[in-house]
Amino acid sequence: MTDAKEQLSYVQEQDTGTTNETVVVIKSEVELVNFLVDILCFGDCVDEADLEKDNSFKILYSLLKRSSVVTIAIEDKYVDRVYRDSYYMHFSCKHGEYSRFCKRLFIFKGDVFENAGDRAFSELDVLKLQKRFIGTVVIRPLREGKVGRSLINPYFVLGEKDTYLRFARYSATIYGMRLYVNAFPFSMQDGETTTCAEITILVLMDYFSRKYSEYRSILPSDIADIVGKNDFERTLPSRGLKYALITKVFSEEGFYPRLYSYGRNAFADMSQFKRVMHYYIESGIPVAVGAKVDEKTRHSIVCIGHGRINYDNIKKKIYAVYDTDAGTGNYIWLVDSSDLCNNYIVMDDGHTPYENYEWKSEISHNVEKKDRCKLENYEPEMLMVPLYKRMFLEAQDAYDICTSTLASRMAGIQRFYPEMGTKQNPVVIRLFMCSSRNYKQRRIANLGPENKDISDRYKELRLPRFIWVCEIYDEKSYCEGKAKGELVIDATASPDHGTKSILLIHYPHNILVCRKNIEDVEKHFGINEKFQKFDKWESFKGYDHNLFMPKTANQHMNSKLEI
Amino acid sequence: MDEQEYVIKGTLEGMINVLQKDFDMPSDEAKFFVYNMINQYGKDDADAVDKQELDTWYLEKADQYKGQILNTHMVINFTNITQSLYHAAYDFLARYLFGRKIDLPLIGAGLVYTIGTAVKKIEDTDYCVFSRIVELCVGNKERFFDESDIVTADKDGKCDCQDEDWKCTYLSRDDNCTCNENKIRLSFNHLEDQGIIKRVGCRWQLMK
Repeated sequence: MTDAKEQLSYVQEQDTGTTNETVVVIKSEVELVNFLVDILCFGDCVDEADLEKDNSFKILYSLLKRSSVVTIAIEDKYVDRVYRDSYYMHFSCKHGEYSRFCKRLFIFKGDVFENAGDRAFSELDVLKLQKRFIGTVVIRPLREGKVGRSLINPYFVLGEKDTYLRFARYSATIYGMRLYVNAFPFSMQDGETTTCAEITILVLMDYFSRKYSEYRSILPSDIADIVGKNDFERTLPSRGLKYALITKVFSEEGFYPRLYSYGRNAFADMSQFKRVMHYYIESGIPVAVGAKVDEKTRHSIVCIGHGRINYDNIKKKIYAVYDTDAGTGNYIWLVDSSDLCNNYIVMDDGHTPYENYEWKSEISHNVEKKDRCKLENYEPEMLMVPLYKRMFLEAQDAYDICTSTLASRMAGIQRFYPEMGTKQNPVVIRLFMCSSRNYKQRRIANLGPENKDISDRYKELRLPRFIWVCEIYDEKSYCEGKAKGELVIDATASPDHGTKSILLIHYPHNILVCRKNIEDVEKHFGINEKFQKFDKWESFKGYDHNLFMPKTANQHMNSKLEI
Repeated sequence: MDEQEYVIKGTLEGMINVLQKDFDMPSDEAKFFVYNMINQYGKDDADAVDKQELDTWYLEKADQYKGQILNTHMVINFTNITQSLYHAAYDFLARYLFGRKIDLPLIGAGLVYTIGTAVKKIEDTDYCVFSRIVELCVGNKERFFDESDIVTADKDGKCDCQDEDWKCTYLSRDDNCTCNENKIRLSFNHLEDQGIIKRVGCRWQLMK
């Protein structure tokens, strides 16, 4: 044993006292490295080069080094249901011996024993531990992919600025103490029962099952069963899954997923791929992205949110959109807010959780060369969106309906405000899907005192479970986060319905509640629809209930919002 | 120049309308621009348009054209840099090729792009030689050529390619052209230095 390792053992012994609790306080980089060498079972003869090559080490090291002092409580002989499933399905059948048990690390920021006197870990105040709680990491007894199901508070990795993402609330108990963490699940692939494809399915299903009662959490053997019934080759050892098969697994689990492929004529160019991906992320739906690493290698990652919005780029890309009603000759210029965001929060099983990946576009002016786009180091090719069964209308169709309505002579924004939607003053749109319950609640709360009469109209709105919303801004109001209006579309509508799927048009001082679209779907939305004018009106806060900023464990405790 | 990107979605007529109104393009140039931009999307793309139908649309006057694509919504995507490049190409083509009954579908989008990038760089002394190369390469952008293929004057030694915008150093009294193979070779070397043509063995080829 090296001196540093002896020192670590000493620290452990001192901290745990006479109890059997294994708790380590790590205060320096050397202690961190030694702890990781110990916990990842590298043995005594490990050198620096081995550590640099080991991905499990790299992930844990880059995660834990973010805090100068961390306390780690270790739950030995932990039964991780995902690993146990893999064990009985595959590892138990092998010649070499594998343990059935994992270790689980409970990570806390700082030294939890500070000012605690001689108290053991289990005697500490649960609320104080909760305030410092970062999350849990499962260590699997494997050679590769040792980091198993991990639940880490994104605040610890990303901070709270310029990050908007999805997460669910998880709980974990240690020494009889229940602790909570807001997290999106993460796991490395073990390379035998799980590859990046299975991990994509596992983490997404883990998240959805935790968040919504409609779905169940699944295990590697469930995936193998579905794949076995729908593919021609053996399922183990896994060699990865095609995206069509990943989509099939989601279909079997109660989703109505959509699979988009860049290479198969779904999109005119990569910017369209990015915009569709962004609309779904802005809708709070984590998506699976299939990407090309090189000519021979493909990879799958999960995109769960987005990063900084580049307000400076607001007019860098503008769209002229025509009224689809051919012959009117009416068009408007608009800015798509999805173009203002180039950073996405990604769960990549080969990297630290909550990686902030940049979408890099290289525009080619040469007609013989295509534009090149990369999400960090990957070239996205596939997009799988796990949609709820009543989300019929797709993002591109919702975009077409909204933009052509905005451009229309009859119901467009220029009917009331001719100065909006010009090349000099384009309309900024923000498109997303949301549940009508949350939408109504947030709108009524945020419409403001000047909009009292408008608020009454919102209260009476008849909405389906999910709606597409297209918020309207001008350049200034977008930077302030204050919407100037919106279009609401029925997410259960058919794309062929066009303007018949519009439920609400809201422009400054003017509102049209399209009751006829609900009451008589046979009739066309026509000139009989009348806007109601309101003298009192003010801009209102944009919808903020699909994506959330990371919170500290303490903020999370105090938050009353049910996410 | 800061790059500004524009996306126009609409029918062919609608897109031309936007270009005329918001980009101050004359009708013919707008049609030329839309044709090239739609051609730009490769055959594999979702909204690729049948080349023959697009050519027919371009060659016909819009109001006489009876094809389907006129009422189809399409998307063109370009930057201010692309726009200025195609503006330069249009100016060049309108001057030297369209007048000789060589129309755009024959020239091809690839050559138009090459012209657009080249005309912004070349000097007056090489302008004539470059325009003769373009004429040679209509229909086959990858064609090889050498000094002997470049004909700068008619059989009477008179120039037929004069313009007020550039000074031709070969032009002498009574429209006589003084250019010869040595001068053409010099021009080739200039054009090579500017990355417009490249040497392939003992012959030359336009850069892609």
